[in-house]
This record gives sequence, structure tokens and C-alpha cells, in this order.
Amino acid sequence: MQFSKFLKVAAVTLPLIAVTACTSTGSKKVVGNVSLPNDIQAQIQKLQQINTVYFDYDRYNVKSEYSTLLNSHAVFLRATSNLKVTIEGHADERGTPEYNIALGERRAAAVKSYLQANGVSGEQLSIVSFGKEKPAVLGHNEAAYAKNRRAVITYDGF
Amino acid sequence: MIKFASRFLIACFVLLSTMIATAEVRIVITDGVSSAKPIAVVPFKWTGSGVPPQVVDNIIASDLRNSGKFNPIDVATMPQRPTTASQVNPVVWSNIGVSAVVVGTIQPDASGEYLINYQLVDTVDHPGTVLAQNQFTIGDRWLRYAAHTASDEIFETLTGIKGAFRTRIAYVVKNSKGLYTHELRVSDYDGFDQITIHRSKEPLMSPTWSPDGKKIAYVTFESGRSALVLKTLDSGAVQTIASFPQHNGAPAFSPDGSKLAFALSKSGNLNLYMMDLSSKKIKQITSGHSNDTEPSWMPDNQTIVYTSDQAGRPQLYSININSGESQRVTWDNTQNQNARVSPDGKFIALISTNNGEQHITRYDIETNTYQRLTDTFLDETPSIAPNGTMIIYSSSQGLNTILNLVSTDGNFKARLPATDGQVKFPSWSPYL
Repeated sequence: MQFSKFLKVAAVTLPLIAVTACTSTGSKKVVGNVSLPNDIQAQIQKLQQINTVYFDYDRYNVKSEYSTLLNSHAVFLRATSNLKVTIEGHADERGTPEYNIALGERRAAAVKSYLQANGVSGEQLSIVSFGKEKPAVLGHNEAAYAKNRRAVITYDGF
Repeated sequence: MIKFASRFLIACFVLLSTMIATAEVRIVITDGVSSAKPIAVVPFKWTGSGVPPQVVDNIIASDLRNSGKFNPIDVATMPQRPTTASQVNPVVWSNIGVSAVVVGTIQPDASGEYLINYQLVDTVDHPGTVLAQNQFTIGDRWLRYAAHTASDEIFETLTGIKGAFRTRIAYVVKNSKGLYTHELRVSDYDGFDQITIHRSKEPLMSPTWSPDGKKIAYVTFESGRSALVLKTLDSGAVQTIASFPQHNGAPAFSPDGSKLAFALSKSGNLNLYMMDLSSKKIKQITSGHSNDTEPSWMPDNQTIVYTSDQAGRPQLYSININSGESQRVTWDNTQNQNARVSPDGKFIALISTNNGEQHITRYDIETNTYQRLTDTFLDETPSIAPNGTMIIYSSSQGLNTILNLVSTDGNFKARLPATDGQVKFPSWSPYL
């Protein structure tokens, strides 16, 4: 599990490093006023496959197993400083809806801090908490709850 | 009668053009009928041809049953079927334990309207005495409203408590299919005449009525971020109250309607703020590094009870909006949150968590005592009827979320099963 995750991250990260040096142009997606080369779009698509960090019950710290995942986003965002991301925070269903906003927010903020600590500009990062309003999985058991206590990195405009 | 109803009608009229949702919620009583007082609502005499457009006596009987305080007896067990007070034989009713009888008539008139008459007759203390009576001339669209008016008068006569049968509820319905996954809907308190007032592709949260019943404040995530908006029901106009970075939520009107309290997290954690609704000025009320949210006003318009995690787990605190003086209110249970102060300020409906279970709990301020009111699963978002007798809230049933009612003494319990989607965030209107 841990190893396969590592491979997945490496597969995304390594080509990214190559991409950052490359300024080729092709058919473009426009983000803000800036056109994005196809290969950057491809990298975003890959990063979107590994965009979720899960948290323990009542915990808001980013677990070390997510450092490779987050580092690959950080490397990419440092290199493409015109891109912005929104980090969504979520809580499981226990508790009340408005208070659970705070729990989702702490998780999103933890991911934001992690990315900032790894060199990403705060200007590129914003957070939104949905609390318990957008569960990934329905269910009243720990398996469902574990999938819902999460932060998701979404690339604005994608 | 028309004048009386006008405020209620304005909201319906404009909104009817928005859309009428077909799937409605209905009240299914699960507990408390045996402790309710027997009463008789005799079938009203219908003088028209065919069938009456609304069975007014059924509406009145349902209202009285839904109050949790009365148990209208089965029509089949009635010893007689009088339609006027003079036909009521008090003894035959008192013999079967019925101390009050409602009789009446409904007759169409030449103009296409209906004349409704009702009388409430005492059978025990002053046998044969008419305790309350009224008559309404009204179009068929407002027959339910006329019946609820009769129910309010009967209820108040018998209990001394103002009836709340002409109130409405707002709630959010979440559907997994279709383009608009979240709808803010409004219906009569009993689930009838449901209309949709806002549809969204993203979550809607925390609707709450202005004390004049003309506006609803709620949270929308339509832009991808939260915004707190205020919708005027008769015009449909939407005003943005707050759309700061991060969360804008948990709206609560002061009882006098002059202020709206809410929670913002633009500073990095949730703090309470309030807007003066005439000047639009926003004032910060709490400013710690903990999360402060879910405000609810005391009747004095000066004190707000709210949830704070300043001591770790969420508990209730209160703060004076002028002096900023704050104190902790609850010290018990694992968590206490989502306070709703009763209209008289004597108790708080809240969500208490113990051993992983969260239930609607009544906290009496004077005596500092708690009473767990419910045994449903994952209770949340209580809202108290304007007469303080009933709480509406949501709970989970299987993978669904439904609305429930519980009386504030805990005796009466009912479900409002959803016919489509998950139903959340109920908010009881003021008297309309």
C-alpha cells in the first residue's frame, strides 16, 4: 500500500520536474490571462488523481504518509506560480453542521500550511470548508467516516 | 379573515410561480398519543354537492393531534354526529371521557367561496357551553388556512397557549440526482403546500426566518465558496450579507429583527459577528482563537448563546453584545452545541453528545437541568415552534435524513418522512 502509493507519486513527480523547464506551446487552456501548455494540463490531470489527504478522528495533522503526495503538488505549484488551488476541508457526519465547518477548515488549513512550508506561495492557496455537507461516502461506520474526514486539493479552473 | 391572512398569503403567492414540488413531507406520530387528552372533532356538515374541496374537520383534528396535547377520537366511536352546538348532548361525550367537542359546517356560496362555521362545546365543566366559535368566508385555496385558524383558536381556548398551526417550516432537501442537488423549500408546518424557493448545485445550509416572517437568511456554496444571503420571500430578492474568505454561516436574527448574528472565519477560525440590518454595519462579537459559532439570541436582544470550543470540546457560552462579557453556560455531557433559546428564554434546545450518541436535549436555564428528549439517531439542527411547545429537528434513518418533531416536554414524538431526498436544516417560522 505504502510502496504503491510512493510509485504513483513518483510517476507524477518526476515528469513534472522535466515539465517545469519546458516552455513549449501548443493548444492551450487559459487560466486567468495565462495560457497553459498541454503538458502542464496533463500534469494537473495526474495530480488530480492524487488530491486527497485523509485524517484521523478529531485530528487535523497531516500524516507523514501524505508527504510525497503533497510534495508533488508543492513542486508543481512552485514551478507554475500562475496556478491557484482551492483546498476543500471535510468532516465526518458526527456533530452539528455549522460546528463541523470548523473541523473541515482545520484540515484544509493544515494542508495549506504544509504546502506553504514547502515553498508554495500563500497567494496560490485558498481554503473552503464544507463541514459534513459533501460526504464522499454515505454510511454510519468508521470505514465511511474515515473516507469523509479529508482535505481535497482542487486546481481552480479545472 | 383576508386581512388576517394577507402576510401569510403574500409569501405563498409569488413563490407558487417559482414551482410547486410534488413530493411533500407528512407527519407520522410515533409516540405520545396515549398521554394526550381525548377530544372530538365531529365531521363538519357539507351542504354542497359532491365532496367538499377540503375536509376541514380532518385538518382541525390533525392539528390538535400534532400539538401532542390532544387525541381526537375515531369518528366511528362517536356516540352522535352533531353539527351545531345545540345538537351536542354533553352527557354522551363526558361518559366516554371527551370533555370538549368541535362541531361545524362548510357551505359553498353563490360567489364560489365557502362559509365555514365552527363551535367548540364544553361537555364537563359547563355542559353545553360554547367555549369558542367563529366563521370564515374564503376561497378554496385558503380553506386549509381557515381550518388552521380554527385550530389555533380551539387550541388557545383549551390550553391558554397560543396555537402555532398557521406557521411554516423552511428546510433543505438534498437529492443525489438532477442538476440542482440542493433545494431550499418552505411548507406549512404540517408539510402541506410545499414550494421551492432556491435551487443550487452546491450545498445550502442553516436557513432561518426573520422575526416578521418575510425573509429567510441562509448559507449557499453556489460560487464554490460560502456566502450568507438574505432572501425576501414576496419579491424573491436576494441580498448578500457576508461573503468573506472562508466561512460565512450560522445566521440568527435578534428577536426584535434589528440584527443578524453569524459566524465568520476570515480571521482563521470561527468568530461571532453581527450586522445591524438598517445600517448594514458589521460588528465583531467574539475574537478568540477558538471556534465560536451557532449563535442564538436570548429574548433581551442583548445576549447571545453560542457554541465554543475554547475549553476543547464544544460547549455553550453566552456573551453580552454590548459589554462583551462572556460566561460558560453548560458544563456537562461530552459536548453541548447548536443552542436554540426558547421564545420565553426559559430553556435551551441543544444537541448533547454522550457515549458517541447525539440527541435533542432540553436545558433549563433556571434549574441548570438537562432532559434528553429523543431517541433518534444523529439528531441535529433543532428549531423551536414560536409558542415553545414543539421542536423540529433532523435525524438519520438508514442512509436518509428526515425531519422529526418532539414536544418540549418530551412526551410527543413524530416523524416527517421524506418522499424524495434527504431533508435537513428545518427552521420553524414565527407566527405568520
